[in-house]
Amino acid sequence: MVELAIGFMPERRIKLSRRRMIQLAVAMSAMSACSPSTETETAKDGIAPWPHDLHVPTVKHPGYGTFPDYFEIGETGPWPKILSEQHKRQLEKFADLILPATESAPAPSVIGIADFFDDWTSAPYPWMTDTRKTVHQGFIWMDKQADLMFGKNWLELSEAQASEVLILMRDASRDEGPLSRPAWMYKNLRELIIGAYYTTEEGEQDLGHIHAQPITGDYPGPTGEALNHIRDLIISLDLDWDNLPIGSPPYENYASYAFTADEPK
Amino acid sequence: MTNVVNEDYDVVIVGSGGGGGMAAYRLTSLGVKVCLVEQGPNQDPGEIPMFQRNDEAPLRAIGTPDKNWGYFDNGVCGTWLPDQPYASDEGVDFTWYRAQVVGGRTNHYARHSPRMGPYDFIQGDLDGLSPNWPVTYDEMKPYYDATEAVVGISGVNTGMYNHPGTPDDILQPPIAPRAYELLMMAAARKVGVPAFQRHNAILTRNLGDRMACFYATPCMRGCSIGAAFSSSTSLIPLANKTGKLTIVTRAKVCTVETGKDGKAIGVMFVDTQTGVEGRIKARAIVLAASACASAQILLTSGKNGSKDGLANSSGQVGRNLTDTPAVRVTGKFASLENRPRYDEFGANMDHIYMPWWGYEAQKKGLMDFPRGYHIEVGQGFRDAPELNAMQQYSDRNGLAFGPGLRDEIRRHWGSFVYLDGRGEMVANDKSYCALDADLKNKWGYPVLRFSFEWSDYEYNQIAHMQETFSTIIERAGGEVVSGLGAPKDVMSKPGGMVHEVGTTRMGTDPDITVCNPFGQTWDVDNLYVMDGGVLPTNPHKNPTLHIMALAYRNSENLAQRLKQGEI
Ligand SMILES: Cc1cc2nc3c(=O)[nH]c(=O)nc-3n(C[C@H](O)[C@H](O)[C@H](O)COP(=O)(O)OP(=O)(O)OC[C@H]3O[C@@H](n4cnc5c(N)ncnc54)[C@H](O)[C@@H]3O)c2cc1C
Ligand code: SF4
Repeated sequence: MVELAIGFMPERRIKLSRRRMIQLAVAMSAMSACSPSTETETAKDGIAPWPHDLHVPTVKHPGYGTFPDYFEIGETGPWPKILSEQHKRQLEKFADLILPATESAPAPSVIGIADFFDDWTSAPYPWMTDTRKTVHQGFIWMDKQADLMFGKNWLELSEAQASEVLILMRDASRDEGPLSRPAWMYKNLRELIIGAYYTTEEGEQDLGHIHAQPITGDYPGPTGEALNHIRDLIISLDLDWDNLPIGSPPYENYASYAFTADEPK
Repeated sequence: MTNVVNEDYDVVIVGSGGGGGMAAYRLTSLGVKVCLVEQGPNQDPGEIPMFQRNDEAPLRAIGTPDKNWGYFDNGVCGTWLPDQPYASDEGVDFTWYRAQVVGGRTNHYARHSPRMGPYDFIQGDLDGLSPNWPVTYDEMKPYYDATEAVVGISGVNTGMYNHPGTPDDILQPPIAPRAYELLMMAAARKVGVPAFQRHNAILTRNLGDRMACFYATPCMRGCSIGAAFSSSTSLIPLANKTGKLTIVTRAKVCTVETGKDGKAIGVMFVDTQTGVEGRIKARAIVLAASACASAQILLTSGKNGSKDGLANSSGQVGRNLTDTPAVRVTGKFASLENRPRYDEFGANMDHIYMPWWGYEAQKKGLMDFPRGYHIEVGQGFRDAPELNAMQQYSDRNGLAFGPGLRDEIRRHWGSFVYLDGRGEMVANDKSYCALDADLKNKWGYPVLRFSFEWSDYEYNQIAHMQETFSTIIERAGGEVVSGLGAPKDVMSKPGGMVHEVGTTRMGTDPDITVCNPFGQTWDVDNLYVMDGGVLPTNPHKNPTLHIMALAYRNSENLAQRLKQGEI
């Protein structure tokens, strides 16, 4: 059993089987494509039309305000979460293709990328509102495009097939043509996935970023290998190394550099 | 908070930032009974989220309309304060970045604290582009010393002309440069641009109750241990200790009230939570609500709503508004790709800078802009990754995905360094703030409208920065990847550097200035201004130290006049 939150009615939650949920999502997408307000666009040259008129849930929340609680943010965060399970799975699949797991680093789905998007797309601010629209319209488009290309929806595609869809989106023009919206979707979601991933501890570790820990005494500056590297670089560029203040004070070479700017006459 | 404050005070100070905090400290330590009125809430320094990770906050802690500088940023700050809108003239996108919390914007400023030099005080006289300061460096020196002794400054003295040092017994040891800072120092020096460790309002040694920096937490969130100076952790506790200070919070001062004789008798405020009005009486009033906010209070305090406002016989309230022209030029360094990792965080803020060196060339007319600038240096892998700053690393090779992308991002992490120019603007007629004819704040009081224009002085200066920064980056083996192009397109937005000053400038001529050489308004004997508004010019040397040194000095003047019964 999975839980589907109907986007524009966040308080209504219904329990559904996974199969039923997929059926429902397909039905919903068909519904939106046929809805009377939408000019019925049909696929041209194997490209699915973007569901411009698809209703996107609005969020009515005042935001966390100018003086939020820094410590008690709570399990659920400041605003009700409205991202559907279906969207979560779709985003996870997207994210895991962008940054696939390696031997030493977990996939985005493993470190909570779905929760990140749940928070993000449920927020009331402008950037997040744009993303909510992208997600709601975009995965309808992706399902249709997957269907045109492979006769399956996005979640059913194999890794190789899904990659082909992403390549189509990645390489398309964002300025014009039938793929400009999918191309933006790719760019925007990719940016968020990367940003969300590397701001986690696992992401930092993958970067090799050393997160500062409190120290007593003076900050030492670069040491060991890092110091050797920068020294070799500075010397190789024929710049002066000997007059630089290296490490904690005091500096013995302190007086070996001076800059004379005279009083203007 | 108290709505009606019945007690009589010697002085009411409006605003608890750099200027207001220093005034409260100095006045109370001289035995003056002070009531400090602040529109924002108090913040317990122990409640600062120093160690919270960005991924513990909503939206990875990035800036939003509610908190422009991020979820954990200290200061209840933003350009968008829902209750207090402001307007800009068409085509002017003025950013008025305000704080509303005890400590004001000092809670999260970047702590760069260079002194002004003798030349900065008289340059107007020499190039004729602005009035002189009504004080000289020699007169200000003891106040810089005293201010720095309480603020706490670490760094080195450059020994350069017009960059006066801090006495050895006050100056704390500097902070070791990071790897990329060493590279930029060496390259700058090689091309004839001076480079030194800079003066930061960050303790590297304990000072009183405040502890030395432990080099691990973002200073813009505030600093519970008081290593990073802020009015709220470093001045107000000292003022509190005197027993002479009362703080009233969440009280927005709307007007200064005057008696029949034209003297100020107190302030009128609204409780920002209930909207109820209140009054506080005092023998003297100090406005320190920040340059534009104090101008707004004066303009709103006009007799019977007169548009001229209070203390404005010169017509100069709100005029002479300047900000710091700035540009960022970023270099990409192949030689820094995949470089060995180490803890590059340091004291979070820049450890080095490049002071202005072109005084003589300018005097000789060899430069097409009249005032100086300095250079700040940033990036590397100093800060922890931020959600909206990863594209630089991930998009070098188009918008790739899949295996290999991780290696790519890791390779570029830490291989960018930017140079930030911070220049001096010359005040002009087109840059000012005034009351908007229609717009009102939540409580029905008029709000500001901004007009602003950079001139060729600033554009030419930006062009010079771009050329100089490119030279330094290239000499260091880097390739410039952003920040070039027409200055007007790439430079900072008006107000963007949050160094707005000049709106109630002080001087010796009452016809063209609002305050006398001690920050006392010419028109109202017992009304002082002690924030950035009084600065007659806006030297590129970041304003807060000068604001505080003047508040220190001018508070002594006020205390003395109170004591002598002149007020
Ligand atoms: C990101 C950032 C980095 C900066 N870096 C530096 C730096 O490195 N070096 C430097 O020198 N400067 C820096 N600054 C600028 C510095 O913060 C300001 O120059 C300084 O804080 C100004 O002091 P002030 O007392 O004039 O105003 P503020 O510090 O803004 O204090 C004004 C106070 O008055 C209160 N107030 C306003 N209106 C009212 C009212 N009507 N009633 C009651 N209270 C009111 C506000 O809530 C606030 O607390 C930086 C600023 C920012 C935002
Ligand atoms: S880095 Fe140092 S000065 Fe900055 S907040 Fe942390 S302890 Fe305070």
